[in-house]
Amino acid sequence: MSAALLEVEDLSVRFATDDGDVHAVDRLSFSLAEREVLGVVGESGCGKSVSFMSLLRLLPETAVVSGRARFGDLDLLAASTARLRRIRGREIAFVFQEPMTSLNPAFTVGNQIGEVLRRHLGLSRRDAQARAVELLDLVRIPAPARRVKEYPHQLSGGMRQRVMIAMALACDPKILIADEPTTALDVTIQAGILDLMRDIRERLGTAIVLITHNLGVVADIADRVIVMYAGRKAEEAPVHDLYARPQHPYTIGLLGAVPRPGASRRLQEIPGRVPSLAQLPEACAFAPRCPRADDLSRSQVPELREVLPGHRVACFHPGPTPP
Amino acid sequence: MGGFLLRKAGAALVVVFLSSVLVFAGVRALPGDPAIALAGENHDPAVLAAVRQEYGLDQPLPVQYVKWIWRALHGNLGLDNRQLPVAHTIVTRIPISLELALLSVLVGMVIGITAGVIAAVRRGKPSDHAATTLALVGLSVPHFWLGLLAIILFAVDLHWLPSGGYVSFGSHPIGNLEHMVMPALVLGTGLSAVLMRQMRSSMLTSLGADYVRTARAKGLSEWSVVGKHAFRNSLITVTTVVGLQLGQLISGVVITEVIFVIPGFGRLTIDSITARDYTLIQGVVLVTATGYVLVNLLVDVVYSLLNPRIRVS
Amino acid sequence: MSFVEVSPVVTPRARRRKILRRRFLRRPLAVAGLAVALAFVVAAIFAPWVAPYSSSATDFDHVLSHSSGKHLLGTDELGRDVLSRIVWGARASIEAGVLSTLLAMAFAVPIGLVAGFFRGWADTVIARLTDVLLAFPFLITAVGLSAIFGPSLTNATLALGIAAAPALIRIARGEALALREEDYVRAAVANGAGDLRIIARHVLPNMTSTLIVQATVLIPTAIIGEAVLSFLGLGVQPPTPSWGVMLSDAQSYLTQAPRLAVYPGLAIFLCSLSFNLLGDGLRDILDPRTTR
Repeated sequence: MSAALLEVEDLSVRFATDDGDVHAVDRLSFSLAEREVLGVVGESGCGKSVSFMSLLRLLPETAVVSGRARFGDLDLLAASTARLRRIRGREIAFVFQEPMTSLNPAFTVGNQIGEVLRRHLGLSRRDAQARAVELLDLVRIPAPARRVKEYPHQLSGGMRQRVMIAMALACDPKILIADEPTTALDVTIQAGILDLMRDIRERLGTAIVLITHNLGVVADIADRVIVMYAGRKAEEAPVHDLYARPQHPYTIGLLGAVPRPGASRRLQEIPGRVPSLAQLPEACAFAPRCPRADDLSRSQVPELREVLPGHRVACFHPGPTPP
Repeated sequence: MGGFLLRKAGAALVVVFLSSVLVFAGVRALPGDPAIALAGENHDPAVLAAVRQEYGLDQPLPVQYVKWIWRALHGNLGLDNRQLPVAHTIVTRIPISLELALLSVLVGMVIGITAGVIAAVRRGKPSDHAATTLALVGLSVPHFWLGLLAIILFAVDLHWLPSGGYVSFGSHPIGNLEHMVMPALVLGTGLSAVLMRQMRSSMLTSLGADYVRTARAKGLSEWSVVGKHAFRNSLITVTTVVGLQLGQLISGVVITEVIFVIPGFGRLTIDSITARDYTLIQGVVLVTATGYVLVNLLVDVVYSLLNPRIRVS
Repeated sequence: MSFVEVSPVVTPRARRRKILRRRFLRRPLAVAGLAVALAFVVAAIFAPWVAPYSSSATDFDHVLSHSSGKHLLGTDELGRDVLSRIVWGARASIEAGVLSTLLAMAFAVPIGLVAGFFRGWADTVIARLTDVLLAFPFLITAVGLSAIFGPSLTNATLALGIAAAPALIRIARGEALALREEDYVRAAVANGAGDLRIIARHVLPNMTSTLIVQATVLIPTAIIGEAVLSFLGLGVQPPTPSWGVMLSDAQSYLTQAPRLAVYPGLAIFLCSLSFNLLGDGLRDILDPRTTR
């Protein structure tokens, strides 16, 4: 078991707004090992993107972040912004969700990839350009020497996403955080991007965090999965375990909501709505929608407990659905 | 890019043509005998006969127009009321106004763009409020009043600068600049106010864009993020605004030249109108419209160079 | 003929007005602008009662005097009270500013609307014509037209209105073009509503906010325009007071009495600034999308 690459403890993110504080992330803890692919799953607004953006201090100034995030011998949350800049793009890289708007329309693809190389590795313009071509090839963009001189508007959505990945991998980072990398793309293109990510893990040994609301994507390439709900971790397990033996009612509900071709049973939707993050109760956040809710879960926040080897749940009544 | 520019050039040509028709028709449409107007209110029958002959006033209008345009294209814009060739007068005066205009644009852009960027980066802080307020003031101040105030302060009170007049750069470079400083600053103020507001607004949009987030996530320095990524995109928007302000600039040049008694093209415009020198007016308006359209075309060229979506498509 | 009534997507008027009023009052600069602008308008309308003296009352014993108890801002080269002349001058400026803008809108909005909404050959002609007219800068056109019409306040107002029209046509046309693609307009068309009804109920009401904002931008431009025209001798003729004429006269006395140039200019500045602030505030509350 390799030493943890990244260890996050009690990460909390709070946004100060005109209408009061919004608690986007509430005491989240997790670790990431080398070469591991961690899937982070949850619906929109559950805090998955915010937690990882906070690690690199990419959130707006209204965000108040607390907790500890150990990366090597550095606490990311306590480090100076100057120090963080040396880590961004170099040791921890981010791939954002919207390839359409995440690339600067005014500069060529080669220029934007080269930027990272020039900044962190001190390469010359010519060397950076050459390396950019190699990277485009790595992410399987055809005719990379031609593409490198093109502008983002000349590329399709799938290709732009590959460029984003190439940009992220430029300095051979230890961790690649991909925030909904396939959501804005067609299903057919999605498969290609996932293939690419598998490839990257194999060849480069990069640890990958895959943030998504799509369980199918996670089943494909993750080693371990964290399920988040309303800013808190609900369940965490190795991927096969999660799918075979889900313990948290929310996870069970999520899996029940995935359409399976051939199955004739009705799609089960989870009744109710996600609670407002401005008023997180001191209780299980899922209780209002949970078929197993009782006085206990309505009055206390459940702690994470290990119910099976390597499988942790934050629930007072974990276990498979009664048939 | 070629297609874009070709279309713009074509449209420009059409506009110039139509403007010339408008100018031509305008003078002919004035009440009274056009011959008298073109002769400078001279009622001497012999002169009138000569004018009629010269302009072919007995012939149908389209023929007159073609004659006039043909001569104009050969650089002959006729003689003004003092029997001086219009084209020559215009040509000697244009460089002066051009110098004033260019200096003003320079002042306006440097101040406006810098202030706008600073205000956007320090949004909500005192420097932003100060800059925004100053811009609003600059927008509302009438140029000619500012010019008079400047004359009062710098020429009358402090005796630092001359109160008016002009000395050509060739003959006396320092003197030329001394005469141009106040007018250029006064004229540049209005432009800088507009540019500052536009630049600030553009920068705020750019700074909130996804690609800026990506740039930060790549570990680029704040200089790079603001100065390279955000700024470049804002510049594209601002170019359009500069183009739109050209009309104001031309009016501004006219008034500034009147106040500072600069013998430029702008003053010529006013003098010709007040003197009712129709031949001169025709020539002046034609040149103004053509020049304006050409400069707009230039702005389009700059825009297409800056915007990759147009440059490469 | 019966068809399903498609109600306009504009929220109930009364409630919207209350919301807008509340937002407006939260902006001190806009309120200040409104107050000062109103002050000028009031001064213009009630000049005979507001001004301490008549605008032409000369006093050759007290020419070019400094401010005193009798003359708060002093007197000019003919002994006339400067303050009174400024108050009377507001008439020319406000009249020219407001009337020319109204004229321009009355003329430009229908034309632009027709062009943008109906398109076709009428639109092409109007659009090209507007482009040509826009090749001539606003002030130059106003100056030229004034020269043709002859110098007077009425002619200056007319000239300013005509000069402002092309830009307004372009804006109205743009709005109409965009609005005709809106879903509720298409729905009305699909339901068989007549053109006039669609324009009156759906298109025009949704253009009002843009038009109001434009008006508040045009007015100060026209006020300055009138000042320029009078300054050049093409507008108001003496002895009628106008801020522009006062500035022009002051040029000859820059060394002796520079304050004669300061006061009228200050009036022009404050009047135009107040309308600009008002316009900014209105634009803020009517279009929440502007980046602030």
